[in-house]
Amino acid sequence: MTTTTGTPILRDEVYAELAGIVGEENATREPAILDTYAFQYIAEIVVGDSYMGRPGVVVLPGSAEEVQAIVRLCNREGLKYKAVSTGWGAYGAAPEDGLVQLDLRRMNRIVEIDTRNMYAVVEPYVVGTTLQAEAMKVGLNTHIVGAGANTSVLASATSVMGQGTTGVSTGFSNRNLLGFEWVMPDGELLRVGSFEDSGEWFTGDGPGPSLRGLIRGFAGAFGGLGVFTKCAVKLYPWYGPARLELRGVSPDYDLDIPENHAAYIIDFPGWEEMKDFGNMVGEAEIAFSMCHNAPAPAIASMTDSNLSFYELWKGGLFANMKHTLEVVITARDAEEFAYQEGVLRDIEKRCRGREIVSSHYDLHYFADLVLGLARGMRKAGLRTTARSALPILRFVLEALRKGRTPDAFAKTLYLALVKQNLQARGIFRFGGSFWTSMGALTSWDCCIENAKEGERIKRSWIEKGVLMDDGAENAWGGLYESGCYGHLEELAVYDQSDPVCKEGGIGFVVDTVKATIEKHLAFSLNAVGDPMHAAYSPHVFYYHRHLAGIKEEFDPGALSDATFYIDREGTEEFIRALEAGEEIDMRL
Amino acid sequence: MLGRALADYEKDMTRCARCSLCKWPPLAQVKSIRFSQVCPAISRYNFHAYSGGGKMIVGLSKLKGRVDYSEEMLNVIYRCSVCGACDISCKYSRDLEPLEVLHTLRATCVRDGVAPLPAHRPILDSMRNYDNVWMQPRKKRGSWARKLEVKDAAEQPVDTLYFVGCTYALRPELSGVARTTVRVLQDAGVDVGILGEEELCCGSPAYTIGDEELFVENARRNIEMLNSLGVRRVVASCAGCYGVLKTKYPLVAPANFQVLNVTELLAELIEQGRLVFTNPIGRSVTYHDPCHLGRQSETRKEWNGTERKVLNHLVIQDPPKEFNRGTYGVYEAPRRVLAALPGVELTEMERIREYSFCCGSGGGAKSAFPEFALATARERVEEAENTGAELVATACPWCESNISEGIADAGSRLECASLIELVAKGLGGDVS
Repeated sequence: MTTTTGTPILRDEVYAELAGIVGEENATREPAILDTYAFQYIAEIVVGDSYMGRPGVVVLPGSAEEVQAIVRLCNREGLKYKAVSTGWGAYGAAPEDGLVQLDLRRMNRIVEIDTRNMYAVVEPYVVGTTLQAEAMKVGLNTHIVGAGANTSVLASATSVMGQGTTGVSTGFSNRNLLGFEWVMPDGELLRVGSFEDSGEWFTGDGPGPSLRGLIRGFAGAFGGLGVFTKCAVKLYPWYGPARLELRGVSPDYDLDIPENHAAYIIDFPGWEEMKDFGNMVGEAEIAFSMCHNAPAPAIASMTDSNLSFYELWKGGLFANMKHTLEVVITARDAEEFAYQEGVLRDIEKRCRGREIVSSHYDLHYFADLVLGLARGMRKAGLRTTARSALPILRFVLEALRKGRTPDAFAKTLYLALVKQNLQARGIFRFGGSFWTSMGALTSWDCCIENAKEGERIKRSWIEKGVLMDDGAENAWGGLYESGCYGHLEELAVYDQSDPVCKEGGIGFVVDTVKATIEKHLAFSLNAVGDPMHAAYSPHVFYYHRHLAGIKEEFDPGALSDATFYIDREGTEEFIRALEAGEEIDMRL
Repeated sequence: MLGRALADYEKDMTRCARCSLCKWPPLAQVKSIRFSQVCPAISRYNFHAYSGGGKMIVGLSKLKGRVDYSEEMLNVIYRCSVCGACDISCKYSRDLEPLEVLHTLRATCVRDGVAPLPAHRPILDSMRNYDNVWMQPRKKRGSWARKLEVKDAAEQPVDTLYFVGCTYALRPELSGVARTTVRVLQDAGVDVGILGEEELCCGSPAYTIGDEELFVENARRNIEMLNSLGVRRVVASCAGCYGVLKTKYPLVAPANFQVLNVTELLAELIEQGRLVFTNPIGRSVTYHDPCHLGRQSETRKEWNGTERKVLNHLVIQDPPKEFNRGTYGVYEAPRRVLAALPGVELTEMERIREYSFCCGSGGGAKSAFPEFALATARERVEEAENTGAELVATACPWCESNISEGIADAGSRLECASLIELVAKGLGGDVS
């Protein structure tokens, strides 16, 4: 017997067997519970509804052995399965009903933090915030993805894209993966990297087999290649206290920025200067964190409601804050801090940057700011200067009213960049949801071109009323590994409860995909799923054949749900349609 | 809010991003992996449906007719202490109302006749028949004060009414707290009175279980009576009573009195020099924030505006809506009292104030799912033990009772005590 979408209905005896593996209380077929795995953000863009397919069963395994048993049972019964860790986004589900959903929430241990070799071994439900809290206690820190500290460390390292704001000093999740424990699509267990041989996880490339590129490549398999049950990630030095002590009550937390740490927002006259600054700071290796955050999310992060954001935004004062980089420096001692800040200021000067937010809000800084404003007024006129300074001054005055210090903006910024705690405020609060586009991992120069093009395309969709008018420029991203490359993705905010957005949102995505191909802007992070592969693959050596080859080799039964990975036949059908000049539906 | 339907929250429910932020404290406050969870229900039952966001989805699915009531669905809705931690963590970033959705989900169950759960029915029946939750005759309500010399507020004018609440009044093992409270206030020169047998249940259990009709009836009777007394203020030492008197009664009818928690009054009296401590306590203490004294004690204002979109899809409220984000809960007063007590060394737990971890007793959880309530208490006990403290102080009979059970169940050496008992000790008095 099958569901309307052709998926086998779970027989009672199979359910009983699954429940036997994980324990009765860790398995369910209750529709109300199943629906909480079907409802996913961006589902409305992916399938046109808030709900993806409803799983046939959800199980909560507690160990790799239980995961193996479940996967083997799925293979025996021909059941599709998919694992999630925190399960955020449509990628955690499938469009069709009936799959076996593995929720890995019970696998939540930090197995080990190796301070000598600077790595951590984690299970799937360890998230950025918990690993960071433990790592900081021993003078280490972890890279946290841009999605936020509420996301799984393992998921971004093994299965999806994993860029974040500290990438300039910490690399990013794809690159920090040192080894992993993998329940392969047929249920066999494989440990990849040095662990298999030495019991230590210091490298993912052997002496045991290295399959890092194979299992994740650029984008990850999004659950399409079995289940990862453990992984090791590289950690980085943390030159701050074991814990950042906060004052105040939500939503206004305050803290003292640690000694020899500082946060800045630096504003540039245009994209060119911002580009040069990024490249030079990357090369100088002085920044702990460096990213571009557009004015709308930056201001949203600093305000406690949509209304307070709108009050600041509606005056249109932000036009001049468009080309900014947010920078945090963290030094071991005063001498190193003086060096880093000195270099930063020197580059800033060469790139005609101006610190519009800084940890150094003291009388001296205000004097400088006033002088700068005066100079700005002379050069650019009162209106232009006021546009760039007034919002910040207004925020500072509001902070002073609440009893905070003049550097409140810098402190909130520091907290947001170190702890990665404000993503929901900065992007989800506006209308409820967002889509991202562009975002190739490429040279910083090409990233800037992505941002420019993203802004241009988005403006037209704002004019159609499909997306929130965030000023159109809403690129987010940064530089990685000392600026060797970077990424800037274009964020587009919408309201998932609004039919106009649900129906129109995909158009924006399609336009950005086309633009990256036509204008040679490198490989977009939307290259996920068959229709997108069909759009990109003919321009990139028909890469889908390689992906499909991997999938078929490891999962001949195609049971590990590959909705967001690859299906050879589906992709080739889309390619044929595109080559025939037909429009294809980019939804899944 | 009262009298709302799930349809009123359709947009909130649809706009849940399923980000799981409702499962942790506001992320910047996470201090360790061990105590990184903030929601008792998801901590115990693990399926996403048990989280605040999960219950938003359950509400949406019910509204859309995708699911119908079942025993398991009712478990999801009621295996929850309605502590509101999810609401605080969500609202650190979002303009959504998960706690209101959760309440409305329960109210909908009651309206549809599938709730209250069998374990909750005797409590609500007791409220109807005896005006208390403990199935005790009305006459017994005043027994706790039999040997006290205290004004009867129904008979003579008083400045301050002490609202004792069902539990302090009717549970012999806890009623010493009520007597101590009266004595301490009298010692400090407060013109205090009580209602004795005339006192009614505050109605909080009916509200949290979702029986809005019963709650409103209780609240109206109470407001009418309290208004008629002409007291300047009503002081509650039960956090549950305090929370509902302060935050839910304004939704029912206007009151002509101020509502205070006893910790607020104690802090005021200490600062005025009207309570002077002479007796060192000599204990290391940690403090447990009761949910209804802390994050859930902000006065809720009825908002009947509409949603407006600007900038195409930026959602704002017209007229502007004040979201309850837990910012103005009573967090400092109990800590000021502890700080004033000689020989008290206060060590904080990791989850405190607006992101405190619930004791597990509230929302009808203790009566319907005692094993869940006890597991939650044990989690809190472990966190308290982790501070190295000898004693957990709190300011709510439900918390005190459940944490004490958690201590016993864990075989812990910790003690749990009401803050007022420590105050009495500090004053050199005995705990009665």
